[in-house]
Amino acid sequence: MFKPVEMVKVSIVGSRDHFEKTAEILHRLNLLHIEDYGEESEYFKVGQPFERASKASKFLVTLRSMLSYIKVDPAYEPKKVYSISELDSMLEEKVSELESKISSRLEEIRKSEEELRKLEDERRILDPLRTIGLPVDLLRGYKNLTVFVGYFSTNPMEKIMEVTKEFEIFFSEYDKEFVGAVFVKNEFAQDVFKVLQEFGYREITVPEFEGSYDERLTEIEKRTNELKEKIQSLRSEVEELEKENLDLMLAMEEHLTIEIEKSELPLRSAVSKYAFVVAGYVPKDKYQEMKSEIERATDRKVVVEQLTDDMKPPTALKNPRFAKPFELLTFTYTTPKYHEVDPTTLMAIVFPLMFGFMLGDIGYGVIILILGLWLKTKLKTPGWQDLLTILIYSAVSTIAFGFIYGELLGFELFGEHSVLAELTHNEFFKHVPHVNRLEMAPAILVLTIAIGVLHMGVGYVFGILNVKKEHGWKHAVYEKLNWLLALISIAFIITGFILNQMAGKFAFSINFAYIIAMPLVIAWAILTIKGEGAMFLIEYLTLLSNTISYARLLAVGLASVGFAIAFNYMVLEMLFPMGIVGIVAGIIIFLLGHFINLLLGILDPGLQSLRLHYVEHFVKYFEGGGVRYSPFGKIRKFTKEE
Amino acid sequence: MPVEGMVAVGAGLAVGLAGIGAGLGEQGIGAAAVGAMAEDPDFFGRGLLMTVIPETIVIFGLVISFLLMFI
Repeated sequence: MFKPVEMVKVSIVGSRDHFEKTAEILHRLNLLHIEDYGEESEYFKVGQPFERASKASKFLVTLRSMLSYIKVDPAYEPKKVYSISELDSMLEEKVSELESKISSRLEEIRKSEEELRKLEDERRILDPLRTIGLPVDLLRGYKNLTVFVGYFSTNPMEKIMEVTKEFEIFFSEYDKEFVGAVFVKNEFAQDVFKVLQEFGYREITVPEFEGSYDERLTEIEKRTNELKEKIQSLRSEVEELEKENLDLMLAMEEHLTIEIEKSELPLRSAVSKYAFVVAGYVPKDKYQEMKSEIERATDRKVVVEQLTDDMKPPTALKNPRFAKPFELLTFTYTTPKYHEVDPTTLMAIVFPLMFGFMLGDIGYGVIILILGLWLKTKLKTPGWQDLLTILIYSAVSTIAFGFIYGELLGFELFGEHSVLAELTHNEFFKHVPHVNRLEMAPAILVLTIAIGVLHMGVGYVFGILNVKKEHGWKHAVYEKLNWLLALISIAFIITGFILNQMAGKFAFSINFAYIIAMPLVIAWAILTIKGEGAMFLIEYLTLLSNTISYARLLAVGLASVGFAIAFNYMVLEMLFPMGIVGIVAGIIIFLLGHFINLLLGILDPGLQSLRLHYVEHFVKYFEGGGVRYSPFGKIRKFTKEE
Repeated sequence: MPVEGMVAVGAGLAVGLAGIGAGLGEQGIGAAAVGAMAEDPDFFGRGLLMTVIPETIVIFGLVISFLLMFI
C-alpha cells in the first residue's frame, strides 16, 4: 500500500555454456525485469540469438498467419493443454501438415478474391463502354490505328481537327461526364494524346472478350457467383480445420513465442567470448529464491549477485486486493516512479465515495449494481473486469448515499411530505434521519469545499514525502509545504467568509478565521518567493480555483436530482391525470427519462470523480514517468512444463 | 420585475454563460487531445486532464449562482 514492491538490482554472470540453461530458468521464474545492455565495450558486446531461434520464428510466422484468419476470444479457455515434450516431438510435422491443409486453401481464397476484384473492375467499365455505341472488338486490335477510349470533360473534336483531319470520334454523355473513343492514325497518336489531355482524358482499359456487352455481363455475373460460393466454402473449410486444431495451434504458438523469447535473451545481455552478463531488477523477497534456483541448476557456474546501485528500478504496484482494479486508473494517468507514493489505495477509497456522493440514489445504485454484475460475466478482458469492479464499488457507495439522502429515482423517501410517509401514513418515515440535498444545498456546498481541502491536503502531504525522498527536506519545504500552508489559509479565508455571511456582516470584516489565515499567507509568500520565485505567487489563485472546483461534487448531484424530479413531475402530475393515453405516455417518458438520467449518472460522476483525482489531487504530488515492471517470462496458458 | 426574479435570472446567466465559455475553451483542447491520443494512446490520462481544465469556470458560475440564490 502506498509503496511499490521493493526491488533489488542483480547481475547474473556465468560462462556461455550455461547461457541457454539460465535463459530457460529465468523465463520459467518470470521474475527478472531485464535492463537492456546498451553500451558495447572491447570485450562485451550485445549477444546473438541462440541458433534455434531462426527455425522457431519461421514456424511462428506460418502459425500466426493462419491464426490471424480466425478471431480467438482473449478469454478462450483451451480444452486440452499440451505438454512441451509432446509439442516438441510433433511440432515440425504438425506445422507442415496444417500449412499444407490451411495455407493452400488460404492461397486459393486469396486468388479467388483477386479474380473477383478484377471482374468487379471490368463490370464497372462495361456500362460506360456500352454508351459509346461500338462493339468491344472494334475498340481494340488495330495495326495502323491508335484508339483512345476514356472519359472526357468536353468534346475534343475541334481541337483534334487542328492536328489532323483524318480521325473518327464516337462520343456520348455518361454520368455527368462524357465517354468517347477517338481513332487516329498511329503517326498522329502522340499529338492527339496531348490534345486529349487538355480535355481531362482518363483512359479506360478495353477488356479482352468477344461478343456483346450483355453476354459479357451475364458471364461476369455467373463467374462472380461461382467465385463467391467457392470462397465461402473454402472459408468454412478453413474455419472447420482451425477449430478442430485450435488448442494445438494456440499451444504451438505459445510454445514457439516462448522459445523465441528465450533464445533472444542474448540480445538484451552483454556477451563476451566466454561469458555473459544479464542485469536487471528482482522483487526483494524473491531474490533468494532466484539466486538459489539458478546456482543449484548450474552448479554455481552461473553466479547471481546483488548490486548496490539503484539507478531507476521498475515499478510494480503493490496494493490490497480490493484496490487492485484502481491501478488501471493510476496507469492511465501515468506509471508512478519507483520512489513515489502510489496513489492507488487512496483512490480506491475516495473514488467510489465521490461517485456515491454525487449520484446518491438507491434506485440508480441498484440498477448500476445489477448492470455491473451482469456485464462482469460477459466482458472477460482484464481491462473491462477492472473497470466493472470500479463501477460495482461505485454502485454500492451510490446506494449507501441514497439512504443518506433518502432518494429513490428522484422521489423523496423520508421526511414530512415524502412518498413513503404519504403512502403508508406511517409516522416512522417522517422522522428517518436523512439529508435533503435540495434543502441543504448551501451546507453541502461548504462540506464539498472542506472535502476538497482535505483531499488536496493529503496530496500535499504525499508531495512532501515524495520531494523529501528525492531531493531532501529543504526542497520539500520550499516546493510543497508552502502550498500546504496556502491551502490551509484558503480554508480559513473561506471559513471567515462563511462566518461573516451567517452573521449577516460585511464579507471582509475582520474575524478570527481571517486573523489565523494571515500568518499562513505570509509564511507561504516568503517560502514561495525564496523557493520558486515571486512569479509563482499567482498560483495562489489556481489553488483557490482548485478548492472551489470540489463544488462539482454537489453540482453534478443536484443536476441529476433535478432531472429525476422533473421527469417524475411530468409523469405523475401532468400526464397520469389525463387518463389512459396519459398513463401510457407517462410510463414511456418515465422509463426514457430515467434511462437517460442513468446514463448521465454513470458517465458524469465517474468522469468528474476521475477529474478531481487527476487534476486537483494528483498534480499535488504525482509526477510519474516510471518504468513498469515487466519480468522476463510468460504465464503459460495453452502449454505446460512437466 | 421584483428583485427576486432578477436574482434568479442572474443566477441562470452565471451558470449558462460560464458553461458557454467553458465549452468554447474546451473545444480546441479536446480536438488537440483526441489528435494526440490517436498518435499515442498513453496520452489519454493527460489528455483528459487538459481537456477538463476549463470546466472549473462553470463551477465558478455555479458558486456565484448559489451565493445569489441562497445567501
